[in-house]
Amino acid sequence: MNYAQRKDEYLEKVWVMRERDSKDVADLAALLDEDLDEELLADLVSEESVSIGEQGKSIVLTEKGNNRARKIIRAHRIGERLLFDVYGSDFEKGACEFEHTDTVQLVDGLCTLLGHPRKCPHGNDIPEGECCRSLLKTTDNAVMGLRDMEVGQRARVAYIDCGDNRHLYKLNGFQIRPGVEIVLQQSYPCLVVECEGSNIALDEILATGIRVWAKVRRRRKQDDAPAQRRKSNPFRGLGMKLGWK
Amino acid sequence: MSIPNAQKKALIVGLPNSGKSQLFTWLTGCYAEVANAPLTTIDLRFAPMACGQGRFEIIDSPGMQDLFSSLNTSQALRDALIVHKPDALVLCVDGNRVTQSLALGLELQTLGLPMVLALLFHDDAQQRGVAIDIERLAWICDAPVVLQRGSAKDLEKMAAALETATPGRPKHLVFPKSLTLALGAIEAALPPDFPYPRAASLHLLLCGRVANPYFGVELDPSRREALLETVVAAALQVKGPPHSVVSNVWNGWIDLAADKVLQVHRKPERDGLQVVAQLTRSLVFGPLILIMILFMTFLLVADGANSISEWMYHHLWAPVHVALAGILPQGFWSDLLIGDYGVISMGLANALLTVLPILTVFYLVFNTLEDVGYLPNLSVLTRRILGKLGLSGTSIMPLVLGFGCKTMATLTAKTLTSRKEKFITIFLIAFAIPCASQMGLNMSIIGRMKWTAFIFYAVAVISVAFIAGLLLNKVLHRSEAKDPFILELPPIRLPEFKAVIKKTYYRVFTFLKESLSVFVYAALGLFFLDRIGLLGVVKVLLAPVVVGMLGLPTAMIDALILLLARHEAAAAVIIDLIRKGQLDFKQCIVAVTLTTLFVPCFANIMAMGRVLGGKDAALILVSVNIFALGTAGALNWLLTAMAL
Repeated sequence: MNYAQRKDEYLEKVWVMRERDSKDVADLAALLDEDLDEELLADLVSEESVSIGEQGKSIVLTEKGNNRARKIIRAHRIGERLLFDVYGSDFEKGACEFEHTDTVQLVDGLCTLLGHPRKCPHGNDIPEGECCRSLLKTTDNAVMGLRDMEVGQRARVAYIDCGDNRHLYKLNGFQIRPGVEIVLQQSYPCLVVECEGSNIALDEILATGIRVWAKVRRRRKQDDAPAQRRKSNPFRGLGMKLGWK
Repeated sequence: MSIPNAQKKALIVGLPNSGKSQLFTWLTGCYAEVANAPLTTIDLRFAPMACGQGRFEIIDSPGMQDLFSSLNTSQALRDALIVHKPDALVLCVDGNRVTQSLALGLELQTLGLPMVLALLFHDDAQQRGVAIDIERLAWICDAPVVLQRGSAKDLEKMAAALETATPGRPKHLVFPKSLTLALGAIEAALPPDFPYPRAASLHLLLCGRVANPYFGVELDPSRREALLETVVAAALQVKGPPHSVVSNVWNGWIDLAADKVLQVHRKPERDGLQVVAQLTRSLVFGPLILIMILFMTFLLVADGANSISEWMYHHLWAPVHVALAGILPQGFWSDLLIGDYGVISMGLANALLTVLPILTVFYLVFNTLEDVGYLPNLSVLTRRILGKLGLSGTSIMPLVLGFGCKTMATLTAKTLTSRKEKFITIFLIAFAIPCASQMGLNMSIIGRMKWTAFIFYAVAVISVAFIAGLLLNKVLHRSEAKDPFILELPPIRLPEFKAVIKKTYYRVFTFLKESLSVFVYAALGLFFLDRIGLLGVVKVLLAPVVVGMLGLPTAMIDALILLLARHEAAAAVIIDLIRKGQLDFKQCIVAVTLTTLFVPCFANIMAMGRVLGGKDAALILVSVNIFALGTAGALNWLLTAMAL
């Protein structure tokens, strides 16, 4: 687990403590898998994600920390839901990895796919996402090949499907890797992508393996407008929640 | 070449096109050719550091995208690390590509050498709205970071940092336990005093049997097998595929470092230069821009350079010629110095008054294009066409570099993994790509005719190159795994005229240093061949081909012989023939096409031998010449049929 993920883990635990009405730092230490790292905690305070009480005994999330923890918890529980629904059991481990995803679109896409679940398999609440609020029925984000993107489109790399490890290593050298944002600059006669400030020309063989999370543009015009309207009608969402058709 | 009294060595490393040669020039005061293109440097260069107490010898190395696959392909890099054993590394961090540079830095720190980070292009990054926190960068990398802008103060700081640098451990970089254990197991199995044990064990774990992970160290077979068994066993211990475990940790660290170090003030706007870059690559505007650039260069050479050279010829040489003719006694001495094959007339005057001004003008244009970063962007346009010739993407850069210097381009083709591609690429470079000085002089020759001649010439050379490539692709039918094409395109930027002029000066200077004596000796050689009558015999023997088949005057045979010595010398003879009115429109096109395709220069032949081996080099040489004669003959026939 890297440093950023460890910080996420701390925020997640503080959120869980709040659900159990606790602010005690000792509880946090008990919840964690590792010994309490004072340096990391100090980092969280300095970046204003948590605030610590005067004697150093109590800990609460700040607004910034709350937003971040909300994302983590939501991703974790949606992940649990998905894995539970698909595999039945042993979902916890996968969800722990999944919660560190930074891609809101990915989580929203799964949430829509699962029908905007409210509870995780443990019975805990899943924080609402933008998609639940607007009750999108279809996801307008999808994993697609780099080649299917439109010129000028910006997207985040989801994963890279390479038969050959050397290709993967090569792409990694250019910092084309899961999580980074790329912009497709040109698709013919040869693909050009912008990644981390540099323009890279590459072959289709390499490009087909690169999968990105991107907005499906074809649908956007039809889908976005009704979504806006739905959003503006507060009662519509309520009706759906109560099970009216 | 090594400097005995320098006690320590520092190796400059970094991404391609990240300013290593620029830094080398700053640190040592020795000029190293700099271009806004990858692969400009292919061999190592050594010079003592100019500042500090001169305790360091600086080594400039070719750029690398990553350490381990570069070690497999680049002999120069292996030499730098194994033979020269640097005491410290200077990593060029490109301010525009900090994350990429840090990724390379992570791999390099496994070598366990002290490292100093030289931050270049810092102002560029600031202009693009990215602020780099230098102190935090130094902290997280655990290495000194020195901003480099070429000032004496920066260089002093660099010297001081090199003196005190120690091997660092990047902060918060933690490998999972299973990976650390596996690496430790491999390290223990390495022979004692194996160079760079940590990097070697990581390389072995990542590449296994596939690569040449021994850093050039010879292991006896039994030891090798035992080591590989340890590697396989260790890889099984790692939880997950080793390469993804390692890249996860590294990528996580890079994200963390980027988060701490980089601050983006504003989204990079699409500035005008980026739009220009896109236009040069677009299918519609790209070819138009290329044609426009070619045509403008042609006009500059044909109208500008030619009038300068003609002026110099008429005002500087003609009076001297007349004066010398008055002083010198008729006969031997007059012929030796100012005759048809005179040492002064054909040697000095041709080199200094005809060729030099043309080359200077052309290099100014060409170096400006290089500085702008135009040429690598062309690879996007030509990618598909080259695919038809059986060339994968990696051979594009050598071909593009061929327009600068064919010898350098041939040497860079060494990095291609497929033998077939290597052969086709080197063949095409030798055959149909005119190097910068050839191109300049060809434009000058053709510029003395109507501009349509240039079109005939260009169409002839391009189509012949294409046909030759297609044929070779068919003949050398071998299915080999091709390297996929991936290339970083340098940003298009406004040319820096000081740099362009400096580079032109060095190129012209190199030309004079290398070839002034060749011009003189070649003239002397022809003079003696003529005296003993051998030249006459050769002319009679070659006449059926040159006059009959190619429709050229017998005097062109002089030029063809000079081609063996230097292309520029041959070009000067052709220009002389035009001045004397001995070549017409059609003959001019045939002559230039022939000299473009005919025997490449001596250095290029040597480079071919070095890369492909003697047999293949000889094969290319013979077939290039046959192709060249055939093409020129066919062109002569075609142009005659068109009644030109």
